Amino acid sequence: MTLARIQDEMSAYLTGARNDVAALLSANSVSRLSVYSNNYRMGLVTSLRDSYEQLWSWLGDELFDAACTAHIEAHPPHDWTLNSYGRDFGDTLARLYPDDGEVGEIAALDWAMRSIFDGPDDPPIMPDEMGVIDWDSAVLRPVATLQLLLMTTNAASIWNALQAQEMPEGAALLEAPQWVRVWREELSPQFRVIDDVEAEALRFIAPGASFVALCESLAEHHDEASAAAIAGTFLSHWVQDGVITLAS
Amino acid sequence: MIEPVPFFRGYGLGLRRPHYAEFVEGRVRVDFVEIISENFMVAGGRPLATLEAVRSHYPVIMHGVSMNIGAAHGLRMDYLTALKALAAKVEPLWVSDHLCWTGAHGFNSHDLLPMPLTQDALDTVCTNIAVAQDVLARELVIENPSTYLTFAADEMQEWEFLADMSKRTGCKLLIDVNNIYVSGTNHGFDPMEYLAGIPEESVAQIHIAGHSQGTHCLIDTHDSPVIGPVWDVYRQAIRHFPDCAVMIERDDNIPELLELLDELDIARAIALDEVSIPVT
Repeated sequence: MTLARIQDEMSAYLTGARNDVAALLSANSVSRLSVYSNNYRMGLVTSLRDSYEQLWSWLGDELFDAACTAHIEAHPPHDWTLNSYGRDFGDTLARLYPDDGEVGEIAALDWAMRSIFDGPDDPPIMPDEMGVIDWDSAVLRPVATLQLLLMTTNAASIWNALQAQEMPEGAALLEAPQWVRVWREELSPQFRVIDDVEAEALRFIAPGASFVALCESLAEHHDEASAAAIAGTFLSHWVQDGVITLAS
Repeated sequence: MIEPVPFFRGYGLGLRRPHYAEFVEGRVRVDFVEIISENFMVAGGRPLATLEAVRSHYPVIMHGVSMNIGAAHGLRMDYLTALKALAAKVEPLWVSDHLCWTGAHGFNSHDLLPMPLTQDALDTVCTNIAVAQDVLARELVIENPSTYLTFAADEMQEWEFLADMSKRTGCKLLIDVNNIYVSGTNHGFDPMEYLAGIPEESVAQIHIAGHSQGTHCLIDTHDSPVIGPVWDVYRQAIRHFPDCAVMIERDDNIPELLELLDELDIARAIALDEVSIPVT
C-alpha cells in the first residue's frame, strides 16, 4: 500500500467523494475515522465563523452552519492558508439566499474588513506631510487596503448594529445604491458610507492621478471653483483617514 | 549552507491572542515565545506589528502546521517561500512543523493527518525534509503528532520512524509528551518505551499540553490543564533530553497567563528535581 494511495483515499473520505479508506486501516481504527472528518469540518466552520462574524450573528447558528456545510461540500480548501478560505463564500450565499440581498452584502463587508486586517502595509500621506508635497506634480493613489463596496440594502447599518451587539433593524432595500469605503486606519479596519462623488473620485485616482487631474475630472460635472473645493475637501478627509498615498 | 538548530535551554509559552498585550510589553517571565507561523505569514497589519514588538523582547520559535512534510507528491514551493520570508524577518531560534500530511493533489484539510509508518512514507518524508531544509537553509525541527488511527500497512513504531528520519536528514525533534501519552493510550504503546527509542542528541524541544476524552479515543485538544500522567511522561522526557526548550502549549479555553506560568513553573521544578539543571 503506497503513501500516495492512502493519501488519495483519506482525502476522498474527508471531502465526501469516496469512502474506501476504512479498508486501509488497522481493525481497531475504523471507528476513529470520524475524529478526522469532525476536525476537518469544524476547522473550516471555525474559520468561516471568524471571517464572517456579523453574518453568523445575523443568520444565527443553525442557518450559518447550514451555509458552511453547503460551502465546504462545494468548495474544499486548496490554499495552504486558512485565511483565504471563504473568499468565495459569497457565491454559496447567493445560491442559498437569492432573494435576500442583505445576506451577501453583510458577508461582503465582513470579508472586506477581515481581508484588510492583515493586508499589505502601505504608508499613507500623513497630515504633517501636506505642506511639503508638491501638489502640482504629486501622483495620488488609494492605499493598497482601500476597498469600495456598492450596497443595495441597509447591510452597513445592520453590520454596525450587530457589531455593537444591538438589535439590528430589519433588512430593507435602499432607495438608491450606496457606496461604502473600507480601509485600515493605522491597524484597525474601518468603514464609512460615502456619496457617489467621493466614490467616483477614489475610482478615478485608483490607477494613480495628480490632484490637478482629479480637479479636472470633477469639473466635468461641477463648475471649476466647486470642483477645486470638492477635491480639496476629499483630499483633507482622505489624508485624515489615511486612505491615500503617493504613487511611486 | 544549512544553518544548524542551535543549543537552547529554556522555558516558554505559545503566543496566543488573549495574551498579546503582555508579550508586546515584554512583561512575561519566559525565555522564549513560540508562534504559529501561518498566523503571521500575512502581508502586514496588526499581526506583523505585534510580532515585531514581541520579537524585540523574546527569542521566537516558528511552529508551523501547513508544511505538509508527509505529502506523497512533494512540498508547495509557495508555502516554503512565504515561510522563508517570515523567517528572514523573525530570525527565529528554529522552524518546526509536524510529522503528518495535510492534503494531496492541491486539497488541504488544514488538519494534521496521520502518516502510515512504512518505509515508503519514511523515504518520502526524508526527501521532503531535505527539500525544505535546502530551501529554508536551516535544519528543521519535526514534532510527533497525536494520532487516532493506524494503518494496516504499518511496518514500524512511530519512535523508530522519528529516530531514523532524524538520523537520515539531520533534522531535530520536538517531542510532545502529551501527544505521546494520547497516541500511546489510543494505540496501546508504552510512552516510556517511546522515549527510550528517541536519541537524546536529536531533541531540541519539548511540548507539554492537555487533552480530552473523545467518544472513541483521547483527543489532542490543547484546551485543558496538563494532567498527572502527562507530567509523568515529561518527567521521564526531561531526564532523557535535559538540553532543550520546554513549552506549555494551550490553544483553546485559553486561561489567564498566570495559570500557564504556574504550569511552566511545574515544568521547571520537575526539571530541577530530575536533572538538577539550572532553571532560568
